[in-house]
Amino acid sequence: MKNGKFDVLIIGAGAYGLSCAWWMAKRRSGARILVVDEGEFASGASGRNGAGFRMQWGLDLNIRLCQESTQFFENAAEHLDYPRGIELKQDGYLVLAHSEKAMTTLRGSLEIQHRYGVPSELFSAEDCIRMVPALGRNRLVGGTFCGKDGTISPFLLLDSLLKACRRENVDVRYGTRVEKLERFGGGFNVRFRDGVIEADKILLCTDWAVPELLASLGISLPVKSLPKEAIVTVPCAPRVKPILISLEHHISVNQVSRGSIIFVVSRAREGQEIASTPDFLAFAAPKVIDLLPGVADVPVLRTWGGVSSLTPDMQPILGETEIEGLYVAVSSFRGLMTSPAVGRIMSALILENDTNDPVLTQLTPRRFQTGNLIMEPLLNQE
Amino acid sequence: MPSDFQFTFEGRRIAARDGQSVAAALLAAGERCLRIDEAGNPKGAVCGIGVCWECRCSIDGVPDIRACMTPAKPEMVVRRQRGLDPCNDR
Amino acid sequence: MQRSLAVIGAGPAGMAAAIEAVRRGCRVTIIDEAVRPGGQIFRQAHPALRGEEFAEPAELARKHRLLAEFQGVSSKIDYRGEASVYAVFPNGEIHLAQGDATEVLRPDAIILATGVREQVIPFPGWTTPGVMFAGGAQSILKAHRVVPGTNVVIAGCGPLPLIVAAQILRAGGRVAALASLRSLSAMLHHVRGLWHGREIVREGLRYAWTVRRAKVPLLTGYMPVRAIGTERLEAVVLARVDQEGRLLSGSERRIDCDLLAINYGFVANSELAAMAGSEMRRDPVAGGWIPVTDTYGRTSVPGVFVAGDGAGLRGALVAECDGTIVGAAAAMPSSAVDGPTLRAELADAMARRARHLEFQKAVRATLQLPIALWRTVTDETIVCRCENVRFGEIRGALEGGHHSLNAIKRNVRSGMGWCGGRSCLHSVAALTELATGAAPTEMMTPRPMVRPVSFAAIARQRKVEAR
Repeated sequence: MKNGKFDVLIIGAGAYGLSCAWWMAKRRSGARILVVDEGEFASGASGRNGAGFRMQWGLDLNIRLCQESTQFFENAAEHLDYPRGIELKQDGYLVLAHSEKAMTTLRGSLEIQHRYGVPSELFSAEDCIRMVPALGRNRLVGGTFCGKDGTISPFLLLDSLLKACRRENVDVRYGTRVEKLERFGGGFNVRFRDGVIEADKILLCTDWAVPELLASLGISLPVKSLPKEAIVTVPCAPRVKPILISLEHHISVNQVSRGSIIFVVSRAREGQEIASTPDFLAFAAPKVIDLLPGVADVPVLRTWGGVSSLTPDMQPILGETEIEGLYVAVSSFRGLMTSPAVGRIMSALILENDTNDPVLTQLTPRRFQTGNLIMEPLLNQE
Repeated sequence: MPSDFQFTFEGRRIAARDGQSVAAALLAAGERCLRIDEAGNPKGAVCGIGVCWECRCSIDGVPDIRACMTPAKPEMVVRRQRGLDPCNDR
Repeated sequence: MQRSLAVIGAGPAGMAAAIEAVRRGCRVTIIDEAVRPGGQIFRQAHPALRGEEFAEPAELARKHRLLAEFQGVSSKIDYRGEASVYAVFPNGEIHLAQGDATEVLRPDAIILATGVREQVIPFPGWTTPGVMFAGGAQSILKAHRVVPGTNVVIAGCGPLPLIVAAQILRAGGRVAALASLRSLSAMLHHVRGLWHGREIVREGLRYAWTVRRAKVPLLTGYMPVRAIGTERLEAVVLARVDQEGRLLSGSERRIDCDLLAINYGFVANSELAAMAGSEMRRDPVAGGWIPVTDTYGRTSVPGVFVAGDGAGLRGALVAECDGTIVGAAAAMPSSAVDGPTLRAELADAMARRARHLEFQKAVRATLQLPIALWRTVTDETIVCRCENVRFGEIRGALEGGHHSLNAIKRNVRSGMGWCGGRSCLHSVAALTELATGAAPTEMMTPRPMVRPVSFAAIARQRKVEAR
């Protein structure tokens, strides 16, 4: 690592890190931007998720972040000069309610979504089953559906961002771990195994691992790690067209074009392990069968795990910390689907000190001191 | 080959002896293609010991059964799977 | 309180371990995927099919002796046939599927005796029906009394192709050619080993005589470079390859056949050991990634042992002694293993094992595959059969800087299909080594499921408390 000076160092080359880097490079040509990641390409949470994006949220801030990001995904091939495309599929998300209480939440969220022009609709139980005949009727009350929600290939998104970053002369380095971080002059000194660099500003995009780096500078944020596990079935005949989210089962379902069905089954857990746990399958199988009786005989091929971030109000954290020049972008398990908007907003904040976007007020790190917390109702998490 | 019974493969009668696997009886009968994969490639038995999953067939309506690990039985109905075709009966 | 032991795999190592553990008073469960015990080398036919045998009498004698001994203690063993272990976790749980249900076992100790599977170097057309692994063709012959082809070409390295050729001939089959990468005379350098294994050498010479008498064309230095046929194999093209992996032009020979039986060595079935948390090391001739074990088969995980080829390819004779030794060690509390008593009790088994290992050195000499041979893999060749990933795509990933098996998998999906990488990961590792100069240091992250199991079976799960 040659000793160098950078305008911005971004730690973490996932969807947030690369998106912020690209937006910054576009905003100020000639900016010296370095992105580092201790792992391999796509080895973090951005490579381990359900690959979905939805505008169906219950809070305006989440709706807006995802709406802007959806528009970006729809034109990603063009924006990022990536002719191959990012395998965008917009077959919709069907969010399911298995109780009257959940149905009420869905109705309330629908109203807010409509205020922002999200094309979501109310579905009866029959509507849901007509769309996905494999669904179980047991306790199903109804749902909401938005045909513009969908999936991308996280891998191709990261690849397109990486290539676009390098085209803009952003320096992106994998297998590069921050050993020491300290304030120096008006900026920061950062030590790696084979060198030291100086950076005027730092943006932490390491998600659940952010507190570790903050601790070395003597500050903290209430970010916890949330391990999640997923099941992949063998490829089978198409039977689930939209992405399914069941609020009661805490399961999301995505049948990919290859034919495999991916079930992300959430439960309250602690730790940072991506290893598959011994009791996961026995925990998940009955829930999967209850939700989708039609898949009971489909073999499970693989399980995998990933780690998300958990904040006290289940919302992202975007903004400057109490240390001037040190910024954070924590996704709170919706990183992929908000990454384009977050990239734009953070680039404006960091390079131009633009604090106008209301999202920044709502998601500032400082909210944990004032206690001004609002929960997102449409969460698929225990 | 001496035969104890018969079963059906893709409508054809196949002779088998007690204890022979479905794959062995099919091979003895000159059958090679046991499956067509999603890319349209014909596939047959390869490893013979249940490790490669290439020989998987629909047997008596149950999909994805390894022919090399399954003893043939009288009047079994064995069918080739084609891609993700719902002959899979799932 | 009786010590409980689970043995995974009922081949020579597993059976020997179970016999020894029962002898020492353990409660033993043995789990195997086949209908009957025996593993691969001692695969048993259905009683109705027994009769003429094609293997050497001495090998058959070893088989029947061990099976009879195993049968003798079977009333004391919980034998689970047609059962598949799909996970072993670091907490000591074994998850298995049998019938339409699953079960969790939590024994005091686990012996993984899962053996090896075959490996080949892929070439255009190798996925055509009629191209089989040589050992697989042998299994069909051995257990089902079917020669899986009327006109057979056999290719590969090491002793197995010769043995399979001879057995097919003895069964009345026709062998159109036997192609080996190099002659078995490479073994002659290991005089001491050959002496220790002289019974096996005698068996080998008799197999060689069968092949010689039938005047089977022997093509030394040849590899299959193309299989011809779409729905079924019609012919194979073989060519001479030099030590740099370059095909000698003009050496191509096309031979009609309806079965091509190939084997270029073996890969350990070590996924369960890795998933259980064992430290692993890579040794391409010994089976690729194998668990690090000591003389008693102990892995780095307390209570998890590995016996037989799964701890490094060493053949059936070693596997049986190894099973006895590991079975004894696993049968006792860990504090007792390192004492002088056990070593004295096992002196005979250890001496036999050491002798057989000497012979294995000679065998291993024939299984050395220069990495340059992988140059023969063309861009159009399918490497991952399950996901139809061609070498050209893998090469693209390598050139893009993705050098670990996980990264390549994320990039092009190799290893993500039904077989979980069993047919392709050794190829991806070798091709990576050829392209970058260094083999991958890590296995693909070991995860459930080692066998696919339905949600319904998982939901019908029985948990068995060992204590």
